[in-house]
Amino acid sequence: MKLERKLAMRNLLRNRQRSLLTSIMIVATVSLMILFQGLSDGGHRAMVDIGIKMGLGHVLVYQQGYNDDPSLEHLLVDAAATGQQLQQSVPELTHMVRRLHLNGLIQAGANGVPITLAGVDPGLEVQVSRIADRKSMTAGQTLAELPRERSGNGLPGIVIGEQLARNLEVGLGDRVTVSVKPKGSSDLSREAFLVTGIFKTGMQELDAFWAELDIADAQRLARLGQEVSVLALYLDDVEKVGPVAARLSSQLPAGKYEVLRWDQVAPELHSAVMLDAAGMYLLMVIVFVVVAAAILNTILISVMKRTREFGVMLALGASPALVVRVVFWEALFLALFCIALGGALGYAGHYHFATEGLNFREVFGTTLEAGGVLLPDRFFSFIYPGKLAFSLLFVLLLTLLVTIYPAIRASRLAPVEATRHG
Amino acid sequence: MATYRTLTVPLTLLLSLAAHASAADSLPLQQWIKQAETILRGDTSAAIMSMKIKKEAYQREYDLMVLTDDRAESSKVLIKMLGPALWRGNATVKVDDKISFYDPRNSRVTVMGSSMLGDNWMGSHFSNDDLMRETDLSRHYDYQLLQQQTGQEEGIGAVRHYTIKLSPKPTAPVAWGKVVYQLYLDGQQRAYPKQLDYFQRADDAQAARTLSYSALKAMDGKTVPTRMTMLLPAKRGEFTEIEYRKLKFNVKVSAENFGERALQ
Repeated sequence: MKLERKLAMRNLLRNRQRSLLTSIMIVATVSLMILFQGLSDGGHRAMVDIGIKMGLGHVLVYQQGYNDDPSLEHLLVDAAATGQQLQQSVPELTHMVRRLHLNGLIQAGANGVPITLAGVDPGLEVQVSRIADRKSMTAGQTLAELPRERSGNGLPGIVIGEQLARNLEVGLGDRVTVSVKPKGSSDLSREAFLVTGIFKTGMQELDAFWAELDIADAQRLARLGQEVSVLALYLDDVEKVGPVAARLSSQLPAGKYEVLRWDQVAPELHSAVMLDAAGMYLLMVIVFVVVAAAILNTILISVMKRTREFGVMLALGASPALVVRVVFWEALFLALFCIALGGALGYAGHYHFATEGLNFREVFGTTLEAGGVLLPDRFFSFIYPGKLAFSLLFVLLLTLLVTIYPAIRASRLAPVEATRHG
Repeated sequence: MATYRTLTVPLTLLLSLAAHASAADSLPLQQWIKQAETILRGDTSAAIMSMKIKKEAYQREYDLMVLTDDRAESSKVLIKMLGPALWRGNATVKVDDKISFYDPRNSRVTVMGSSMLGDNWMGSHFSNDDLMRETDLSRHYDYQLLQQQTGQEEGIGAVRHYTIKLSPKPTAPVAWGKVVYQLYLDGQQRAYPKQLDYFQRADDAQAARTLSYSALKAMDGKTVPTRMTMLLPAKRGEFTEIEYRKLKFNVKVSAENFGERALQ
């Protein structure tokens, strides 16, 4: 046993150039694989994260039937009580916001645009939303920055998208009216608002057809009480979405509530992430096939070059099994060394991007959009430990797998002919 | 009854005194506007009119029949298309704030939702929303007299012209920043509309659209402007013109005339 390992090690070290060449290939593969995996998964997390912040949430609680028919007939009536209950029973919860979505017409002068109105809790919403937070405002103030009490006869504020402002030909401080159909009535409810903020998200459907206002204003406009459309739950980790949603579904009375995960509410975002991940996997498979062929090639050549050597071993009485084991030990040592080195290099790269982040705008000169979501300018590499371990193990197994053929070939040499060989 | 009368007489006296005390700017501007806005209506009315729409892309002409009933609290309007043949039977009904459309080809009634508010009404320069906002001008604004002068109007004689600035009340649900209303009064202090300029913002110099009334004629014993023209300065050459051919006031109409059955 010891002899085999000694032989294998010596074989590797004797021809350093050859070993080095094989090593470089495996090291490069492993380190780049880690790097890409980290960036790809980090990018996906950023996509999901930003998508969730665009008016979604990790887990969303609706009244049963709202998703089939999002009308005012299917609103959460006891949102406050349900909210309290959720706050107590979900320790993973970091934020919970109420939202009321209304369809309505916004008008200024002769211009009118049908839009979605989102009534939000201004103070809470800015903490979890990217639609109309400080960063996305191009002019004016966020709803949260408006004074709580309106002066005398002041109009309530409304925050609208940049494209919508252009289409309505309005600016900050201009008056707009909003008309919605209130619940159970055929007439219209109208109110005047003051444009107090203009935001830009980069998403057309938000920038041109979205406005946010205080949920109390929205409820008054639609002649509602405390009803809301949805309770959006934000968790401390996106990975906990599945279990939490499943738990809530069984906890809340069925037939009354509907608990959905973000990927069920925004399937287009989910499939964009999945498509990108699938592309990454496909690329990995291609890389692995090429790498496997290259490793096979180097090991096969290194075995054939040593025909005389193996011939002598066999002639001296070594069993074919011993020859096979020596070749395998060689491959194993080489693979372990390379994976360790490649892993360290790759992890160092990952660490850099996990702490510094990758600036997309610097690298590609433009911002990227995926699944209707504008990606952030900078995102951070992220590695799932299980996935990493699996990949490293896979490289190891792949190396050993491609060694089978050269090892068997070496063991089947006819000693006399082999010793005569070069 | 007796006590009631003794109370009201000094009250009205007091009120009229107060009105005189605050001088010229307490003219009943709001009342004039309300009167001018409803000049073509009466308690009930029936009219035949033609509507000519000129747009960059097309030009159309419709013949319409209009019934109105303002006797009850909820005002009712029925507009039915008489021609051209392709459009015959199409109707718009407005009862209070509810607007429905009827299409005879599939005999279907559509109740207008908020998303259709901004659409053109039958391709004209009026929007569905304009139909909804008939009473806005006499309700949601503060009124300020800008100008007055004497003049002549064909068919009436000597009149007094008034230019009134309408500014939306602080929280009024109106989308205009300012409306300039020109009207005139005849010898009997009856108000006639002349021209309305709608401004998107209060300090805009250019009106977003202009509605003018012209062609005074006697209709059913009453002199009324018979032509309404809507112009959009931003779209040169485009207009919608409504011309009253026949107009009768206080005709007999009932609620049935505005029901769904009446559409068919």
